[in-house]
Amino acid sequence: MTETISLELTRKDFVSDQTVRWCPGCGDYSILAQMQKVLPELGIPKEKIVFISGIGCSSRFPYYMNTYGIHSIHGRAPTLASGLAAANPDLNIWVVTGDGDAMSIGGNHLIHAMRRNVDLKILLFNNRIYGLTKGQYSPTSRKGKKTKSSPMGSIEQPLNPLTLALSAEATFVARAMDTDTVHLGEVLRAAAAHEGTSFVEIYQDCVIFNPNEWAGIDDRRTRPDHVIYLEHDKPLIFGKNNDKGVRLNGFKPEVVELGGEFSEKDLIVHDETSQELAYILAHMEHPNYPPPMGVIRQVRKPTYTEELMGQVRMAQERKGVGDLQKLYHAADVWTV
Amino acid sequence: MAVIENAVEATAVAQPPTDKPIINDFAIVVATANGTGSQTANMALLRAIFKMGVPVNGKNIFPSNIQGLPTWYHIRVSQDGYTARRETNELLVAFNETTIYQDVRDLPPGGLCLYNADFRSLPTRDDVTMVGIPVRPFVAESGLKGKLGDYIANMVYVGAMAYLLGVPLAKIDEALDVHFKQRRKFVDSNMAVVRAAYQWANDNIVYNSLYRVEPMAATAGKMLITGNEAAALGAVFGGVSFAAWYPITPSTSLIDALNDYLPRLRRDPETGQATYAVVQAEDELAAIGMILGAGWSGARAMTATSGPGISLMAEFAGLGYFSETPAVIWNVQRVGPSTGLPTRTGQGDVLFTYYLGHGDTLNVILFPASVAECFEFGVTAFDLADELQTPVFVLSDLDLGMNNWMTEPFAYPEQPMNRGKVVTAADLQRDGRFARYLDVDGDGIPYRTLPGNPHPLAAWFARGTGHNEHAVYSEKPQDWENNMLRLRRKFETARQLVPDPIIQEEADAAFGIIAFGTTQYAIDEARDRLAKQGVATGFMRLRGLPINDDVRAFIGRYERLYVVELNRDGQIHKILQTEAPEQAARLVSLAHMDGLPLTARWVVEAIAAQEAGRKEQTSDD
Repeated sequence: MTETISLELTRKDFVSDQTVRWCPGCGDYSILAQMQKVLPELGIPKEKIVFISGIGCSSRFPYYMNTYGIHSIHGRAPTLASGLAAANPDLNIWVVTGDGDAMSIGGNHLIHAMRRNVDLKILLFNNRIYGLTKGQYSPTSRKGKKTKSSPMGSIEQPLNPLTLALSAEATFVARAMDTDTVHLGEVLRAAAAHEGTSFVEIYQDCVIFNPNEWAGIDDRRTRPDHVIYLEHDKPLIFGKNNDKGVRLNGFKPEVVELGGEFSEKDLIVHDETSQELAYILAHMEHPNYPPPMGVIRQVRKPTYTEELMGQVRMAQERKGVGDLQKLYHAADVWTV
Repeated sequence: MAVIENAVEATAVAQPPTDKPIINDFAIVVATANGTGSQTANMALLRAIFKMGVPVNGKNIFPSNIQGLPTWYHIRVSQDGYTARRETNELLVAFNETTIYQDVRDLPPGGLCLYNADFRSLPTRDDVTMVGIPVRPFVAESGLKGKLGDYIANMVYVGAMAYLLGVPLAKIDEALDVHFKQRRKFVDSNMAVVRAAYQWANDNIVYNSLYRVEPMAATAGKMLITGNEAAALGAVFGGVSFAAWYPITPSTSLIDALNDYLPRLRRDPETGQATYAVVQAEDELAAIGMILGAGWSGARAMTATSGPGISLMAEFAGLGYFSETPAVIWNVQRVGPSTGLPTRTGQGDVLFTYYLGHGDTLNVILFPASVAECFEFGVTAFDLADELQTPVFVLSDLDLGMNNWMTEPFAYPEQPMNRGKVVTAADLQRDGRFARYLDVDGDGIPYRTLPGNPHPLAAWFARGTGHNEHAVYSEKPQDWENNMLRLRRKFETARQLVPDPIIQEEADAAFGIIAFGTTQYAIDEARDRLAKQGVATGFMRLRGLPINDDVRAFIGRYERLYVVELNRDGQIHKILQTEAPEQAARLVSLAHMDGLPLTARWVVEAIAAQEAGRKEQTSDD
């Protein structure tokens, strides 16, 4: 262990010398601002923080973070990040990706990084469109979505990032929204604190190619009536006046008005450890349901690095620490 | 060796106000910000000049795309029909405040700058003419707000430039009419601003521009189209029924064009059903996998991509080559390695594509140099893929693919489609035997059946593993070697099938020049400049790989040949040296890659330096 000099880091320490270039009004600006606000609070030395990205608008994020980082190739950021995490377990690694980068060309890598529970924080900026290549439909675009590459409307069932992460047994699955900055900061803190893969879907606005995607839930004034903020061990209540809730009716969630026939005790109580509840929540989509915001699932399992180190330790206990000289002079070293 | 004076740009820039005007021979650069709708304005200027009968070429030099970044549009007006990029632009439209200092610095003496007079600060130069036009009054007049204000600004410079250059307003109207597909509402609202700005310029600018466009008759019957649109149209004429792709600059507009043409041109007349499919795959691996599946079943299948996508296609390219499955892959080249310069042009994928696939893989490549050839190869590539039963790669580039070029209208293909050696159930009935990989004709090309052929002999199993003539799995050394030698024999056959090179020879030529693709335009112009200095040259433009005997014969006729290409390592030079080893020493590489289209000036200077070096060598002896 090297000693680290304790320094008070501030937001400015994480601002790089690059002029931030996204389209005016892009949701990425606010995610960047929250990130730069949250990082100094974590108590992690700056030189141990790494941002890795692929290709796309979101993938320019590391340009603007004054940390170590790699701007890599399309869809493959999780592979670089996994190798880095396995080789340097004490780094704090963030993967910044978009819906196309993560779920189309990089879908396979994403699944396996989560399955292995590599100690990574994956932030998926979901704007349901290809921005950098100018407006093709993405794997999360809604059915019927008319874009340059789907002039008659998409005929494809979109992927739900949360259920994909849950299927891959991700140990931390959460959602936040670019315009809801305070809550976004909270989710980033929770993701940073988790050991293992943290997967965060961030609803993000592409002002140029998909400007109305989040209509109905991105307006600060009306949002409380249309989304639900999750808290562990608390009932699912929402609404400006806390007058609505979600209960289970058989296997189906159901939005109910409180105060009449239904009260708080009828509602689902959020449990971050329940995979079953996580699926139910992840399927609640606007406009039929209030989409959940916050930590949907969080469980502690051994991380990939812990498992890896555990195996090395066991091998050393069984066979002793390696001695290269002995190996050289042993007989039959080269039998295959 | 030839003595060559150093090259200068064609136009000796005049000094106002005494000199005579410069007619139809200058270049304009329009500096704006990305995403402000300047494309509409630039195309309006380009088309209006084109409609005046004057040869013109436009090139968009743009950043990897985030809205608001600087972008430059180059318009070259050339009575001689030269279309290559010029290193200097005498006219500047300075409508981007963030780059105006650099942009003005780049003007040659005697140049003209039209700037947005609302800008807070302005560079000064006393050897260029600075003309300002305010934009705010026009925006105020229109009553439009925000982003739409930017559109007004663009139309303001169109109006002012039309006045300065002497472009009639009627021509701008015609150009906008094309752009907005005859939707007069849009044309009229844009024209209102253009007219107002033209009038303002007429009333307030006390300067007679030296640079004028005067009507000619050099564009009659021609049209403007991008290489990607031409390629898509060619593919439609070539019978494409399936395309799969993944979005990547600069190939995206090729698929966009397919999506535009196919619904209109490919409907079953009886049922109205679409008879094609275009699939946006999850990545380029999937895209090539899909087209090989479709190609195997007899569909004419294609994808369009660029360097990074080609990288991902490597393993599947090997499967296509080894299982002998037709497919067409358009690689609209950008600048690599890796993400590189995704919005700049180059010819850096030649070596990689030629040998794409591990083991002994050799691929057929076509090199279109014009929009007409993009159309032609859109058809030919499918024929070649079917004839040779192999993936065929078409190497275009960003400059050709994404920019508008003048062209004669395309001709309907004269030859019917060539589907190659496909055997039907009736054929099998007659022959009584079928072996998928047997070289019946000695040309290395076997016969294939298509799935759905009901004859009991027809079915065969396509595999990427070792196989014998009957497509049966085999690890026998002799089977492996026989099959690989046959594949090489097939590649020898391909030499006779790829398009011949285009050769232009002069008596007393001092040396030969070899190139491929869009460097042609800089070389044509460079050769004219050399000819003016009394240096005659021979020129061969390759149109495909592998090379044939015409190529070898051309090389054999010159003591030295300059191989010009847009990459760092002289990739086609390397291939030629490999394929014509006995003539390797004659070939001199002139490779250059900075992300921009090649200029005549670079070609002349590079050759002059080589020739001067040669002169020193011989006088030292």
